[in-house]
Amino acid sequence: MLNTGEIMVQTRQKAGSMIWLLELAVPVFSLGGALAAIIFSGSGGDPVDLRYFATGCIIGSFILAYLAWIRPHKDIVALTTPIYSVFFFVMPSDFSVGIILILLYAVSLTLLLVRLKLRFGVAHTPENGGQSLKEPLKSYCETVRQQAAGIPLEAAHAAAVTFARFAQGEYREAAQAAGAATVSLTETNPCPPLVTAFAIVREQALLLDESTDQPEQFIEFSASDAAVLAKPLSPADQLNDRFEVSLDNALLLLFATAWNASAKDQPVLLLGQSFALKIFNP
Amino acid sequence: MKIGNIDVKVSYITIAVFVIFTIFLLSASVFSPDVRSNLIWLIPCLFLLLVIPVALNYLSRSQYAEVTPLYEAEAKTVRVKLINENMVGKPVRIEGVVERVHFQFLNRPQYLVADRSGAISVKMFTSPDEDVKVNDVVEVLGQVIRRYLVAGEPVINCVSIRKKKKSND
Repeated sequence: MLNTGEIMVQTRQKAGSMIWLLELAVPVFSLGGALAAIIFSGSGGDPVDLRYFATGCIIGSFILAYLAWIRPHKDIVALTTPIYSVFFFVMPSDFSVGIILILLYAVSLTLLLVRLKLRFGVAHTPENGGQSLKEPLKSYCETVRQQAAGIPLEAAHAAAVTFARFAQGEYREAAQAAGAATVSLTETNPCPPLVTAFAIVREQALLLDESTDQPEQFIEFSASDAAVLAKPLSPADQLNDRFEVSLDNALLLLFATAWNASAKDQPVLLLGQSFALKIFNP
Repeated sequence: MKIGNIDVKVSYITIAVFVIFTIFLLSASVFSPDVRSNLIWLIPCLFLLLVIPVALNYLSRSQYAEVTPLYEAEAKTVRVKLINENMVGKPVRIEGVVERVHFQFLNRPQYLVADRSGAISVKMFTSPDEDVKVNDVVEVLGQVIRRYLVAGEPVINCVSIRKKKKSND
């Protein structure tokens, strides 16, 4: 089972390799197009319209603009290259598209890419994308900050793993993580609602994993836990609502606890923020 | 129309296209001797307008029929609210009421299926086994995808949609 740190590393590697491929694509497309133009124009036979080979420069321009866009500091020159590529190679004009123009343009794109990498910082990835918590999740996390202060780091990390696994639909893994956390927490028990939250998520994750119907008896929060819960408890006669609200509250409490007590898990929690917001505001 | 075990359905749009081009061809052949001389290949082409969609429908439905047992074995029954973008690629089963049906005439129906926890769009890229209407209670098997493949909210790429009981109307 992957922990949140491993998930982060995997996600970072995927994003990093994608950006590396895009950076490689700029000279490959633009210089490749220029090279093809040189080869085909010198091969004799019928004259070839060099605008076809300029397509590589156009694609390279758009990729360069994207790479500029995802950086914290925007390079206006790189951002506007798609406009120039359309002006030079697509729009009809008095001057003809020749090898020199394509070659110079391709070299310029490559130099702009080098400049972008040297002067405009590292591209954003999903982990450092500058995301932050949105309302009402942000306010709720603030509400439980005090209660989360005494939570051991391992328990907070387990909360993040449980939430992430549940959000991914990996219900068996979520139940295992919640079960392990419940055992470790019962020894110290710094926050009774958190123990209940783990127990609720474990129970409902197992039910989901086995595609079992809602049982008559299930674990719920007590009225004394209400202060740390995101949603008000449902009336006793509304069995279905109680079942669903219990899970919503449990997941949100795990999210908020992990957010406050385990800073290293925040990037992973941000990936699941949309799910947390969805269960907050269905 | 049944081919083997597969119940192939011809969409209304296919029939409409066939009828319109048949009328065009008949009209043209009445007024133009050139068209009449080419009827020997124009008529088979006309029938291809029916045959090709039927063949494609047969292929897609036979593939869906093959993967449905896999989804039945793998999919977890979830509430609509629990489906989120982190579940993209996961096989799921939902049960709910059909609130809206679109594009049935194209054999590419899209349903809005709701349960107590919320509603989700269910896209099907072939015709369903059953004629599903609004207010039908259905069981949907499918895979979570994004609405526009790489962007948009999560929707279900439906492999099977079955009625659980008769609609009230």
